[in-house]
Parts: sequence; structure tokens; C-alpha cells
Amino acid sequence: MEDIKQRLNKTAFDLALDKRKISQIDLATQIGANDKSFSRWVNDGYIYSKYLWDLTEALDLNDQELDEILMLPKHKVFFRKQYLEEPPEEVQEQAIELAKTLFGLTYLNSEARFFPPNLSKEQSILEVAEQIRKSTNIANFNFLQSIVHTLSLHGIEVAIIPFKKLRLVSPDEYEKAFSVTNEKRFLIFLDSSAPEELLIFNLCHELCHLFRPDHGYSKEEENFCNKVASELTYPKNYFDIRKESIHKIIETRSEESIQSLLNNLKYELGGEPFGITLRLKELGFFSQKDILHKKIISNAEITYKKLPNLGDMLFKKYDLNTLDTFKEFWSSSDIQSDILLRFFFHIKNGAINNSISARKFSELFGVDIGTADEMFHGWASDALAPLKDS
Amino acid sequence: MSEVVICDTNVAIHLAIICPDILQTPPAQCKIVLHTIVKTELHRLNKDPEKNERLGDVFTLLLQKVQTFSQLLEPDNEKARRQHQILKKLEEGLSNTNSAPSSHYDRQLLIIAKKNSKKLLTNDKKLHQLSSAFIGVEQTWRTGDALSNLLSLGLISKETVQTGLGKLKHPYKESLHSNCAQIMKNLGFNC
Repeated sequence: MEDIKQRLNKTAFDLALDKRKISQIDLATQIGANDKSFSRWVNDGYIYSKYLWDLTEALDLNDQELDEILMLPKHKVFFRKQYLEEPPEEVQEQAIELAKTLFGLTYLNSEARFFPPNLSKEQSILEVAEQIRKSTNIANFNFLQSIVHTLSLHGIEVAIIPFKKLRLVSPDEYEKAFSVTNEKRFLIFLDSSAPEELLIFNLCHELCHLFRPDHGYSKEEENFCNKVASELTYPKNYFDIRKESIHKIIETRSEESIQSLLNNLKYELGGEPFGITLRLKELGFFSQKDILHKKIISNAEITYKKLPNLGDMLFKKYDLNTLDTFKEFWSSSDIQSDILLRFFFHIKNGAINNSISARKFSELFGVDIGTADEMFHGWASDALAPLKDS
Repeated sequence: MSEVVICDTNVAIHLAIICPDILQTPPAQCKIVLHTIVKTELHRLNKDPEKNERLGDVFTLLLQKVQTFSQLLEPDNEKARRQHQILKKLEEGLSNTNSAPSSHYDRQLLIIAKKNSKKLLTNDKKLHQLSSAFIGVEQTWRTGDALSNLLSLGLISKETVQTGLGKLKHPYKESLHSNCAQIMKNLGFNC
């Protein structure tokens, strides 16, 4: 097996040497490389990786210099929180580790090319939403399984995971979703502890971030992405076409008739009544000052709060306190068949083909190494069993 | 010639099954040693009931009858933190890794091997990949490489190895890395 080469940015490298007033020959000597060979490698834009560690230490390169010299991918993370605050460092680190893991385990999806237009300068919510629909080839954002499946065909993995159980929440538990890009590919992570309808909204919000990469974290940008998500889940055009009939029903001031309207809208658009009432308010059909409208919105909110939490259904058995149940979760056939458990499918698949170690699994999921190792051993044996039988 | 080789947990288990004497009484020509962090991991692995049932006697041997090699230098906390950061960065520059990133433990063992200029013996895919990249291919071994080297030095017999390879499967239900299996087959062993 040959020693491994890594790409090297000669310009950035020479800059680092100049800054430290050290020549290539002196550096080569320090790290034990032949000076002529070293010079040739650098000119050709690579270096053998076995010299990199010593080189980094000899020059005392900082992170930015390393990024530039080795042309490393930059990971950008966008968090969706209930309140505008930076998540704690440990949460951000865990988010990046989960993202890097998923990038590494889904390398095959790098073949699915997805180059979204950069809509950072676009100020029209309708235009951004329309571009998202066109680029993702998703006309209706009302069925989570279908959205996740279509995005995966584009190479955008959507991971639905229990944030709290995976140490992705700050003490106040405001993190709801985050998206990550390494400048080539995109991932979206959604907290499962919410109704499916809210997950769809959060997913649309994160998609908007991916299409507007130049924007940093701000209240304005969060509001903008919320409005785009509203447009994607409850398109304005639908309401415009039915404007007269919707107004007519609302003007009856009959609670029963308006409730029936909401049910019809839900049937046709998907989603849930609370989201629909908020959209009706946003589009001017409902007024915040009207007592009847406020009552209807309030009732819809009460109903919304009773909606089943997707995480309770998907992750009931995901319990580190009861190891047998935890192992049952991982052994369930749902991981293979349910697209909403895609993240866990990739992890388990990675475990079986040695793309993730028991140590890394133990670290990511907070499982004891002994348990993790034996789970991996069992999965590998099970994977071989059909071959042995045949 | 005297050589010290730092042994990872997974190889330690294999060698303890195949040729325990090599670990209990390491020969100078090829001293395969267990660091404290490996012993700590063995201890944690042993706590899992299913793992203990399968490999309990192997863990007992490794924990009680194989010495911990404590003469290895380790960086202090601040330097170690920086080493981990550097390694995480360097790892990102490796193309086509097609796998999850390294764990803290992986990097710890790698740092110990690097700082002490010792060979690293591991079957773990990620650790092997990183060690081959940043310490060098010649400095990175798997079980098969270790056994091949021990055989060539006359430190173990072919019979010992063949019997050990059989025990690996039954009763211990361990398996060799495909690369190691090929090395052993090339040397004429059944595995």
C-alpha cells in the first residue's frame, strides 16, 4: 500500500512560510523529508500526508491556515431555535459531528448533484419559494415521507432524530432543527419531538437557509425563512384563487361554517388547522382584532397542541436507560423500511460495513462502548447469517 | 533489534486468543504492548454481559496477566487538546474516506503512537486509515501483519497460529479483517 497524498494549496503554503521566514529546505529538514522531493511535491500541489502532522506543528499553523493550505471543506451550520440565541458550543460540536458522520456514511449520495441557485439577494418570498419548488421538484410540501424521499434523490439527506436524547439541546431546549452544508452537499436535521406538520414547516425553513447561504444568523433572516416556509406549506396562490369563496364563508360569521372551511382546506392542502388559521391571518382573511377570528385561532391552537408528537411514535423504544429496549429499537425492521428513520438506517448500515466504529457510535449516541461493540458484533453476524444459510 | 508496538483493543483480543504468551511475556524483538487507555477500554467492554459471556476469559487474561506499558510519553492537557484539533482538521483533508469521522479514543491512541514514534497495531478501519495516512503505512499493522512478523522472527509457531485462528471462530466468534485473512491464507493458513 502506498503512502497517501493530500492536496495542498501552494499559494497559501508559501504565504505561511513567508510569514514565519522559513524556507522550504529548512522545513523539509525539520520534518525529515528530502528537500528536493518536498519542493517538487509542493510545486505539484500535494504533500504526503505522513509529513503533514509534523509540518503543522513545525509551522504552528492555526485553523484558518490549515483550512486554506489543505483546501478543507467549511461546515456551515444553521440552527432553528424558538428564540434567537446561539446554541451552546457543545451542542454545535455534536451537531457538526453528527453531520460529518452522515456526510461520511452517505458518500454515495455525492453522486446526486444538487446546485441550488443562490437566492441570498432575492427579497421576494414568493420567488424564493417558487425557486425552492422548482429546484427540489417538490410541488406540494404536505407529506413528510414524500418530501424526505424526493430530497434524498437530490442528495439532500433529512435526518429526523430526537434532539434531546442525542444531546442536541441547550438547557432551555429551544433547538428545533438545523441544516449543514460542507459547500458541496446539504443535510437537514429535524427534532422529532413535534407533530409531523411542524416538522414539515421546520424542514421548509431549513431549505430556505440552504438557498440563502450568504446570510448569517439574524432575526430578519429567521423571519424571512419562516415566511418562505409558510408559503411552501400553504401556497398563497391557492388562497388567491379561492379568495371570494373563502371571504364569503368567513363573512357568515358562523363558527361551524368556518370550522368546516378549515377542515376542507386541511383536506386539500394538508397541514393542520392552527397553521392554516395563521396563514389566513397572514393573508388578511382573519383579523387579530376580530373576537370570532381570535376564538377560532385559539381553538385551532388547542387542537394543535393535542396533535401526536412524531418522536413519541418513532422513538418510543429509543431509551438509553433501558438497554434491552434501546437494542430493540436498533433491531427493528422499521429502520430498514421507514424513510423517516433514514438516519438510523445509515448508521446501522455503516456499522455493518465498517464505515462507523463502535467507538464513534458510543461517542455520538452516549452508549457504553461494551454495549456498542456487542451490538455491532450482533449486527455483523446477522448480516452474514443469510449468506451462511444459502 | 528491539521494537515496541502499541496494540489497540481489537488486536489485543485477537492476540490473546491466538498467542497469549506474546502479550504476557513480550519478546524484545517485537514487544506488543497495551497502554492504559486500552486497558480501560477492555475493562469497559468486559462490563457488557453479552461480551463478557463471549470473551470473559480473554478479558481476564488481558486485564490481569498482561502488564500495562506505562513508559509512553503523552502530551499535557492543553497540548493534547491542540493535537486532537489538528488531527480532526488533517482528517478532513483525506479524500474518499467514505466513513464516519474518528472518535476521541482513535485520536488519543494515534497521538500516543506518533509522539513516541512507535508502530500502531489496530484492526479498526478508521484508526488504521488515519495511522496509515499520518504515521505511515509501514508503521501501521493489523493482526495479520503482527502474526506474519512474529512468525518470520520465529517467535510463534505455525501450529500455534493455526490453532489460534480456529479458536478465534469457535468458541470466540471473532473474525479477522479481510485483509488479515488474505495475509494468513497467503502464508498457508486455513481461515
